[in-house]
Amino acid sequence: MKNKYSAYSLSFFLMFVTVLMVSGCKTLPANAPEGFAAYQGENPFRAVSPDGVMYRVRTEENKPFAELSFWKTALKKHMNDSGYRFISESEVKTDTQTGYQLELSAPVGDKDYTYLIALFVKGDTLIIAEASGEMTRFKKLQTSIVEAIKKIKG
Amino acid sequence: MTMNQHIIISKRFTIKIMAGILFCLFTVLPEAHTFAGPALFEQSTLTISLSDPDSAADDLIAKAQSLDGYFTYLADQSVTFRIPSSKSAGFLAYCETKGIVLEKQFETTGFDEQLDQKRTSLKAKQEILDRYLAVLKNAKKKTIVSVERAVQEVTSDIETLKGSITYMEHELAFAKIIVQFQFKDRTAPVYSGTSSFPWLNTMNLQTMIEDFNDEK
Repeated sequence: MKNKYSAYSLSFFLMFVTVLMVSGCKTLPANAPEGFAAYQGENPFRAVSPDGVMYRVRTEENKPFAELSFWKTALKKHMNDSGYRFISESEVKTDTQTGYQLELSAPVGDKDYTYLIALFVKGDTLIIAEASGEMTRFKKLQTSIVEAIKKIKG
Repeated sequence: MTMNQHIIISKRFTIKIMAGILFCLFTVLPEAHTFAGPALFEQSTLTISLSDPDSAADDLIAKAQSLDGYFTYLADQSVTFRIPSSKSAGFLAYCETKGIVLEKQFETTGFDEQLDQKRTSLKAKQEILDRYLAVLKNAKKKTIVSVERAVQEVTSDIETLKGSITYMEHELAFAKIIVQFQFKDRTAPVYSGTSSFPWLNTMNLQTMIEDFNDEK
């Protein structure tokens, strides 16, 4: 009888530990844009196109805790102060969230690069999607990149 | 007054009105049009990103020539055009279809005052020259040299003024359009890492490129 209770206790304990482990993992349900190949590893999630356009999704701590409107201003100012050229900004929506999308450009060597950033605030976590590549190559893939951003499930 | 007389008078009246309209159309209005608006020199700089700058430059040069314009400078990453001012907007719109527009700058310089000043000076100098030439005709041997020297100086001034006016008129007639195929300022963004918000310090294109390069 005692052994039976011990077996039950052990199995409950194992289930509990498994649930804890699963809930503790911060998985990033991000998908690669169409035509991109994904690297192994989830945070950051990384994918690349055959012509070198990069796509990366990662999380950061929302610290100090702030809403999207606060981070929008801070991000734009920081990138502008760093010397990136502003191209456009817009709202971006996934199934569950509304985020902020900022398109910048910068010279890299003798090429001009596009640097696209999408930011989502989910409680104490910031979800950051970044994409970059040589401007003309990037332009061709921009639609599939934005579609991938819209499918991020934070 | 008979009915026929009425018809003849009204016909004459109509002819006078039409003549008046035609006079306005061919004399007064064109002059009004000529002097309407300020005399502005236009300069536009367009930065576009495209995959094949060489063929785009050739294409833009052909387009400029078809619009009675020409190019004044050609380099790997930039072409400078002079396009008739009335056609410059159309040319700029065509340039924008060639690639992704990164930057557009437009500036104008008013030439009204300078041009008026130079034209007035030219008129005055020409009058002075005429007077000198009249004096020269009746000049005595003693004074002929000094009058000739004065004529020479005024002629030189007139030529300089004529040159400036021609230059300004050309500047007004042809807009300057500079097309760059990449940012002229090649300074890369600076990574300072000094933001008070730690995650913002991770937002850097160079770091992202390195992150992907490490994976190779």
